[in-house]
Amino acid sequence: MHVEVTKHDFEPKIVAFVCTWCTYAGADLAGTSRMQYPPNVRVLKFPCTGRIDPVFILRAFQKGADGVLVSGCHPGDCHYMAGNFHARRRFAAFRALLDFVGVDLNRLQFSWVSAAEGGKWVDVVTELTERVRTMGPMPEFKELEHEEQWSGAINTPELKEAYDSIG
Amino acid sequence: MTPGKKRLSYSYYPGCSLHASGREYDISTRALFKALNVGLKEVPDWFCCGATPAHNVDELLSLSLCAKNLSLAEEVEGDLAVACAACFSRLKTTQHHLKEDDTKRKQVEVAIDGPAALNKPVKHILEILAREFGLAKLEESVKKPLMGLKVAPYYGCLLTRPPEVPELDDCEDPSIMEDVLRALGAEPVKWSHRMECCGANFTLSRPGVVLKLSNAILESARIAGADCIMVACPLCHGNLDIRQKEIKEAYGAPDSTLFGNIFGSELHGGSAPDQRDIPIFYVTQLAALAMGVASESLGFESVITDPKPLLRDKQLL
Amino acid sequence: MSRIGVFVCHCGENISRTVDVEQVAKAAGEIPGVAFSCDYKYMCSDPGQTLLKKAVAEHKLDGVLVAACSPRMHEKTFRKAAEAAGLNPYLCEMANIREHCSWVHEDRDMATAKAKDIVKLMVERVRKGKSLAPITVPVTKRALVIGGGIAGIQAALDIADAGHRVVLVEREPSIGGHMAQLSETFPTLDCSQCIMTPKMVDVANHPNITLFTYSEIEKVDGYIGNFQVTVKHKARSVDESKCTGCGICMTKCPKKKIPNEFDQGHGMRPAIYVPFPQAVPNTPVIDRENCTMFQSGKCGVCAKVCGPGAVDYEQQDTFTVEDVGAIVVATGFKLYTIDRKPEGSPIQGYGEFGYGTIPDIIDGMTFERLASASGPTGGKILRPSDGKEPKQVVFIQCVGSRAREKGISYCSKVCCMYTAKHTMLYHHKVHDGQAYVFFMDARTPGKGYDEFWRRAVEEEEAVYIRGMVSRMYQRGDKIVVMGSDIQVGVQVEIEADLVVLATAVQPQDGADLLAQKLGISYDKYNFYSEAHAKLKPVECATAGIYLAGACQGPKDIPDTVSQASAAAAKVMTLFAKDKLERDPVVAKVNEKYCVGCFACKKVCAYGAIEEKEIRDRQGNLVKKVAYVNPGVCGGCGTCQATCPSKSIELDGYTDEQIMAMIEAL
Repeated sequence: MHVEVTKHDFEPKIVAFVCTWCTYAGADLAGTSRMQYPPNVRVLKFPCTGRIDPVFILRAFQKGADGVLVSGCHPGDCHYMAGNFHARRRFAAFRALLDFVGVDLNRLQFSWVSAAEGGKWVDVVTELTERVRTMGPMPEFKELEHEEQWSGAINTPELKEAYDSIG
Repeated sequence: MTPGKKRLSYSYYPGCSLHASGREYDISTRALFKALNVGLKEVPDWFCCGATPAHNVDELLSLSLCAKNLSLAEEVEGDLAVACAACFSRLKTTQHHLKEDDTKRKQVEVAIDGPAALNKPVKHILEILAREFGLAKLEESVKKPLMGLKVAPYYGCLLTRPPEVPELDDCEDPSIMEDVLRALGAEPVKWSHRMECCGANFTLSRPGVVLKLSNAILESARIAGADCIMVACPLCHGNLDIRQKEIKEAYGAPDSTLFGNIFGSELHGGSAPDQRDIPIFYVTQLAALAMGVASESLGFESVITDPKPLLRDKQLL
Repeated sequence: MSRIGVFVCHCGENISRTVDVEQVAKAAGEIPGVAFSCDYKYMCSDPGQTLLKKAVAEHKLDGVLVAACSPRMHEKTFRKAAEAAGLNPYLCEMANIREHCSWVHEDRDMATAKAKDIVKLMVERVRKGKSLAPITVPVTKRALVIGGGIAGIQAALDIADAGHRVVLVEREPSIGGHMAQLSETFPTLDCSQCIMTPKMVDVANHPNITLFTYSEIEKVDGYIGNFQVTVKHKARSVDESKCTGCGICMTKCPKKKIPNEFDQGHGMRPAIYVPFPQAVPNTPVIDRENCTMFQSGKCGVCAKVCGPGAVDYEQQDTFTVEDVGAIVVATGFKLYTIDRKPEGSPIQGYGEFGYGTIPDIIDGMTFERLASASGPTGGKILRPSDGKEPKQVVFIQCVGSRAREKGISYCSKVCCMYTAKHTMLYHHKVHDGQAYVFFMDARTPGKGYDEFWRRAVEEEEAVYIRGMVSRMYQRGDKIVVMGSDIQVGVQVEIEADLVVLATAVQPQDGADLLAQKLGISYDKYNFYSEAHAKLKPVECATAGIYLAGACQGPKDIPDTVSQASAAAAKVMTLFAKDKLERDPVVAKVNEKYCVGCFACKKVCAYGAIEEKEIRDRQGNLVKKVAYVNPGVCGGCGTCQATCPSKSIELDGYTDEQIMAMIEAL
C-alpha cells in the first residue's frame, strides 16, 4: 500500500492508551502487514484498559496531546475476563464529565481493536488523526499547566468572593 | 411514509421506456394508483437515467444523470416511485455509490451544480404495493380476483441485485412478486428461471444472445405450467413479448431448444415441444385488472403477444 | 541519577530503511540519565546481545532500553540478556520502532521523529522501573483436553503415555469426532474407522485418562499450572457405572425414526442411542427431546428391558471441578451450510443454490457417509431424494471458502483433496457414472497429495472444469448446474443427478463462548489465535493453554495429528518442572494508605483480593485492609484504576511510571 506523503501545516499529537493483548497486538499486525497510517500517534501500553485511570487522559491533554485514543479488547474478549467492561463504564462517566467541562468529545475516542484487526487499527488512528487535524490544536489544558498553581491562599478577589459565598 | 390515515402519495419517475415502448406500463401504473387512491405526481422535467448504456461507457456521466434526476425529484413531495427495474437499479446504485464514495459525490455535485439527493427514498412499485400500501389492504381492495390464473413471476436480473443496493428483497430468493400475486388472487407458479437475465443489454448488439436467453425463460415458464409471465421491467417485457415469434422461429424444432437435449424427449414423450403463446403482463396491469380497472385502459391492445384470449378464457375480461 | 543504556537496532534494513537509527541513538544519548547509547545492525543476534551485556558491565548501566521490534517478539530475549549481565530483567524494556514505526510510515523525517519520541517515553519507563522477582507457583501435573476428535485423542494419548494424568472432555455422547464419520482418507484411501477406532479404544483403556463424554466446560478459573475447571456432565439418563453396553434398549425403543446426526441426518436412530456402533464409551444416551417418556411421561420400555437397571429418567446434570495444570483445546470444526443465514450474520447463504432446499445437493460430509460401508446406504452411492444411483455427479469446490462476498475469505485447505478422493470413490462404486468438478485452483501441497490429485484427473476420469457455478435449480428429477469454464471461455450447463458441495470449514458453534471462558483470543471467524503465526503455532497468548487441530484453522488429518502431538509435547515441557516461574506483574497493597473500602475486591475478576486484618500487639483490630494473593492475581490493574486512595499498585505499570511517560510526551 503506497500512501502519498503530504505535508500539513498542523501535525496533531495523538496519544493512544492501549491494552497489550488486543490493540497493541493489532497495531503490531498492522506493522507486519505493512499497512500505512499517519505517524502522529504515540502508543502507551497497558496490561488492560481496566488499568487506565482517567487522570492519565487529562494529564495527556495537559502535556500536549490534541487527541487521545483508548482502545482495548472487544467486549467479552478481555484477556483478564472483565477489565474492559470496567473501563467501558468508567469512560462512559468520564466522557460525560469532559463534555460538561467543555472538552470537544471528538478529541477523545474509545474503540475496540482486536489482535486480528490490523486494518481497524489503521482506520481508527487515521480517522482520529485527520479529525483532530481539522479541529486544530487543543491549547486549553496546556495553558492550565502554565498558570500558577493554587497555593491555597485566597489571594484574588474572585477567589475571595467564591470562598465567601460558600461560607 | 408517515403511518396512519394520511393518504399515501408519491413522486413518480416514469423513465424513457415508459413513455415509448413500455407505454402500457406507465398507463397501467397511473390507473392502478388511481384505483388504490394513492397519489402519484410526475417529476417535472425528468430525463433519461442512462440505463442501459451509460454506466458501461462513462461512470461519472451515468452517476450524474441519475443524481440530477434525483435532485429534480427532491422538489416533488413524497418518496420517489419507480416502475422500470432498470431505472430503479440505476437510481439506487447511484445513491449507494455516492454514499460510499465521497470523492465521486463531490465530482457529481460539480457536474449537476447542486447537492446530490442521496437520501430521497427510491421505491419500486412492487415495494409500494407489498409493503407501504400493504398486502392485506391490497387483498381487501381486490374487486376481481385473478382466480385460476397461473402466473410465472419474473424478477429478472436488476430488481434484487446486486446485494445491498436495491434493498427490495432477498437477492437470490425473493418472494415479493409471489406475495403480490397471491394477494391479487392469482396463483404464482414455482419455476426455475425467475432470476435469470433476458439479455436486455444485448438487444441491439447481439440479438442472438437475447433469443437464447429469452427462449430459456419462456420455455421454463411453459414447463412449469404457467399461463403467463409477470414482469416489472419494460426491457424484459420487450424481449419476452416482442421477440416471442422470432424465438419460436429460431428454437421451434424439437431438440434445438436450449433444454431440448435435457428435457425434450423425457418430459414431452418425444412429441413436438410446447409452443403455447405466453402473454407477458406488467405487475401493474395485473394489479389494476384485479382492482376492477377497465381492461381498455391498460394498454393490452399495444402488446404483441395478445393476452386477451387468455384473459377471456379465465373469465377476467 | 540513573545510568540507562539505549540500544537502537537496524533490524537489517527493516528499521533503518525509514528511520535514521544513528540520529535516534544520538538523540537518546542526550536524554538526561542515559549513560550510553548506540545503534547496531541486529540487536537480537548473538553479537548484538553480547554488545548489550558488555555495555552493561562497562558503563555500569542500571537500566536497559532496546529500541527494536515489538516486545511481543523479543522482550524475553533481551530480558534474558540483561539478566545474564547481572541486571534485574524487569529493568530491561523495549521501544517498538519497527511494527509501530518503520513498517507503518514512509516519511523518513516523521518516522525518525516518532522513533525518537518512542525512545524518550520508554526511557522514562525504564528510569522509574523497579526490580521484580519472579513468582514461583507449583504445577498441577494433570492436563485437560477439550474435544475428543482425532486432535484431542492424539494429544490425550501422548500426554498420558508420558505418565501424566489427563482429563478428556467431549461434548457428544462418544469420542471420535469428524474423523470417525469419514469413509476413506486421502492420499492413501485407507479406511478412516479402521485407523481411528483403535485409538478410541486406547483412550478408553488408558489408566491415565479420565474420559468425560456428553460433558462440557462450564467455567475456567486459575492460571498456568493451576487451573480449576468446572465440567458439566449432562444427564445421559443412563447410569454409566451400571450399563453393560448390551444395546437391548436401543433395539426395543419404539421411537426409531429420528434422523441420525452421525449420518448427517440420512440414517435413523432410536431415542436411546449410541451415535455409531463403535462408539466409545458404548453407553447409550437418551435424547430427551425425542423420547416419548420425557415428552408425555408414557413408555419406559428401555427401563423395563434393561437388565442391570441402568436407565435413570431422573438423572440430573452434575458438575465436577477438575484441577489441572495445562489445557489443550481441540474443539475442531463444523461445515458451512448454504442455508439462509439469520439476519445480521456476517456470513451469507447461497440463494443461487436454492438455500439448501434441493434434496440432492449435499455437502462433502454427507457424501462421506454415503460412501462409508457403515453409512446409511451401506456404502452404496444413492441419492437422498429417491434412492437412485446417480450417473452424473457434480462436485463444487470452494463453496463458502475464498468467497469474500459470502463472508469467508480463507481457503478451507482440505476440500481440493477430499473432492479428488470423492471422485475416485464414486468412480470405484459407480463404474458408468461421470464425475465433474468445478474448481478455482487445485491446491495440493502435502506428501503424496499432488500425485493423488493427478490420479483422480488422469486415471479416474473425473472431469475438472476450472470455473465457478453461478446457479443451480431443480428441473424434473435433475439438478441443472450452470457454471463457467474459464479456461475455454464458455458457459457450461450440466444436468446432474447429485451435487456435492465442498463447503467451507468453520469453527464449531460456541467456539467464541468457550474462548471467553478460557480467556484466549480468536479471530473474526472464531478460529482460535495462536501466540505467533510461525514460531508459536500451538501456544495461546494465554499461558498454559495450547491449541490442536481445526479449532485454530482448517487442517487435514496429518497436520492435526502433528499439531496435537506438538501441543502434548508443550504440556510435557511444562510438567517437566515441579514449580514454575510466572511474571511478577501483580498488584500490591500499600497497607498504610488503604482504608479498606474494598472497591478493588469488587472489580477483581480473579477473586485475588482478600480482606486482611491488622491488629496491634494486644490483638485489637486496628483496621481491615486489602491483600492481593500474588498467585491468583492476573495482573490487569483494574483494581489500581479503581482504588480511590491510590493505595494499590500494579508492579510494572505503576502510576509513577505511566505519569513519567506522559510527562515526556
